[in-house]
Amino acid sequence: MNKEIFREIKKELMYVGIIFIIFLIIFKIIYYKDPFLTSLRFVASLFWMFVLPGYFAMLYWKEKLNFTERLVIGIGLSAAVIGIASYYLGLIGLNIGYHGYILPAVIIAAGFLLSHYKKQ
Amino acid sequence: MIQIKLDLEKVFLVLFFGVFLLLGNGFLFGHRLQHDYPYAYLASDAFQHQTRAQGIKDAGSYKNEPSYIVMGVQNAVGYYPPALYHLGVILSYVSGLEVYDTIYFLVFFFAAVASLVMYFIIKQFNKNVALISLPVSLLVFSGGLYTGFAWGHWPTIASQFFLICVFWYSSRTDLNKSYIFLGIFTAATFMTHTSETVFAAIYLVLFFIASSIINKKIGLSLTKNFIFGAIIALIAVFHYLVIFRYVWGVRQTFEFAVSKTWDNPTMYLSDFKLLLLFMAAGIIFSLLSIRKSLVPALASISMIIIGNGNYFGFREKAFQLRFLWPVFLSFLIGFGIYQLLKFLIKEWKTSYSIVLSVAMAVLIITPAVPLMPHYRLLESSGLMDSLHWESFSWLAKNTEKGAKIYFFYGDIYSQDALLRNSKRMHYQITPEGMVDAIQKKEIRRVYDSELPGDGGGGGPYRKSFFSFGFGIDELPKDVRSPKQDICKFNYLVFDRAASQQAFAQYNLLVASELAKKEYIHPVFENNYVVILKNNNPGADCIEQRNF
Repeated sequence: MNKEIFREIKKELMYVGIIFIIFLIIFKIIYYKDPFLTSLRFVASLFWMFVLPGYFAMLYWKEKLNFTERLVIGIGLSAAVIGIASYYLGLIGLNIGYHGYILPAVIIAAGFLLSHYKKQ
Repeated sequence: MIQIKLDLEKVFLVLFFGVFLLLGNGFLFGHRLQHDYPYAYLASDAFQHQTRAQGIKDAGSYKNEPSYIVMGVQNAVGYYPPALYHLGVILSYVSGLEVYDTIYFLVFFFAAVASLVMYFIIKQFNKNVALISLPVSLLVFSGGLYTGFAWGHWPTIASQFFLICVFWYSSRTDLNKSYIFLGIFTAATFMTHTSETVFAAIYLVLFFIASSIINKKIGLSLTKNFIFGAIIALIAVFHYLVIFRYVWGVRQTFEFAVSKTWDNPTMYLSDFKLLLLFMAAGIIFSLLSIRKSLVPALASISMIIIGNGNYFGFREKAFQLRFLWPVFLSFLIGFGIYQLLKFLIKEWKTSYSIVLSVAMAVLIITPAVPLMPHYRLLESSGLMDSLHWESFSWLAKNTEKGAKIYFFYGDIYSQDALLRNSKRMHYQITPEGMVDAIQKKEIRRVYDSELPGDGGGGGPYRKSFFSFGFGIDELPKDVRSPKQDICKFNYLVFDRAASQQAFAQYNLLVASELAKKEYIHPVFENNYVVILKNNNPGADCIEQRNF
């Protein structure tokens, strides 16, 4: 993977960061009765479970899809993968309490690696 | 230095997302994500999903149904489509919120994202139409549709989100390895609420036929794409598919039947009022431009047809599909409005679409505008309250795992899935039995009772990988008997207050009669609920008499 692609990912992750802050503000406005830390952790959880894994999983299709579309579809993709994979991980004996940390991390790593080794 | 440029489209989408959540669950949740008890749960089905998800969290997996959900059957396999429950539990762990908050939130979250996915489907055809169409999605919170959220039709709504993702896939079949999307999204519909998989299949067949007609040839690459996608989906769902086939396929075989009405609030096409005219125009315009508008047009039109499928056999499954009708059909309305206005304004600018979109949102949100379907503000703490929740939590934490609980009359107990929050096998008195006892002025030992629980899957247990027995069918007769001896139970629950004062008075009369025995004593009480413990189950615990 060349430096340009890394730079591009860095730039897009900055967008993700900005969207995170905007989401935090929106959540703080809508659910204003919650303490700030509750909103912060909840938005961070949504990003960790859906947005970041989705973003990295969709990197493979970076050339054909713009950032916003990848981000939105990525939410669906990570929700689908986590929802299904978690069921099976539970069946094979891994307590669901760990899935929220393992599955997003695996999807992020897999997405990154797939885009890295993608044939140009 | 990375420069960030302001992109109006992104700002617009983020704002829409915020408005959607504010209208959807902001008001309904009392502007909180975190609640002390299941908040804004308006019907039994909502508790059904909440307790099942909580059961998965408690057990660590969905290998088995909690026995208190399936009438006390032990080792019943988990037989509901599991994806939404798992997501709710995982979000609960990561966010630190209770499952009852996270699973409910996710339904709104997925509906909001579904609107955005639809936006991108339409945008590939025309960005202006996409912008105008977007606010129509807010109508998922209009009239009867809001009950899809508040009454607990959560799996179908979440599955419809994945169905829209399948539509999106069909708009992007040109992407390298796009069959991955087909496989994963189709599998997700199946693992969330299976009927949407059937609808996805119907749509995909129509898409294949329409593409072949438009391109005047059968697309080999599309065929290959479908085959690969189907293989991925099959692998992903295989384990649950076996359960579905040999549990639901045996216990509740789907029979096609016509049903003109549904026992839940719903939406009819006429409820779109003025927008129905634009929808009709949108259908005509989209058929005229079908080559370019194939995916959004086909998705919308097929959802109209399937959503009306109750008239030709799909029964309640068709009504369920209407919960996201405003999202599915937004394209037709937006396209109708756009194309009609284009007859008047030749040089259309994106800013017009944004203004129109905001105006549409205002018209939908403002209740005073005539001839428009409207957003309906829903604010309710729901069936549960802090005092009942305190009693359920006490039962779940302080009673023995094998304890049996008997609930005397409570106003909220008719929505019986909420009783599963006791996490113990439970019975309850029937209202008719209670009325009969009051009318005859009798204190009894045996009451007309019911064993609430989820009987739909029959409490399935595995005999082999492809073979199941049904534990509910094998329960001893006395377990299912409509006459229950209250002296058998370890704990008896009484509400101190009820909408009918006579019920509450009778509850307290029975409770005080029971408490006369030295082996029965109160173990929990608050201003609403009293719980008695019977330390000698089976003994003659109450003197039967008239009062």
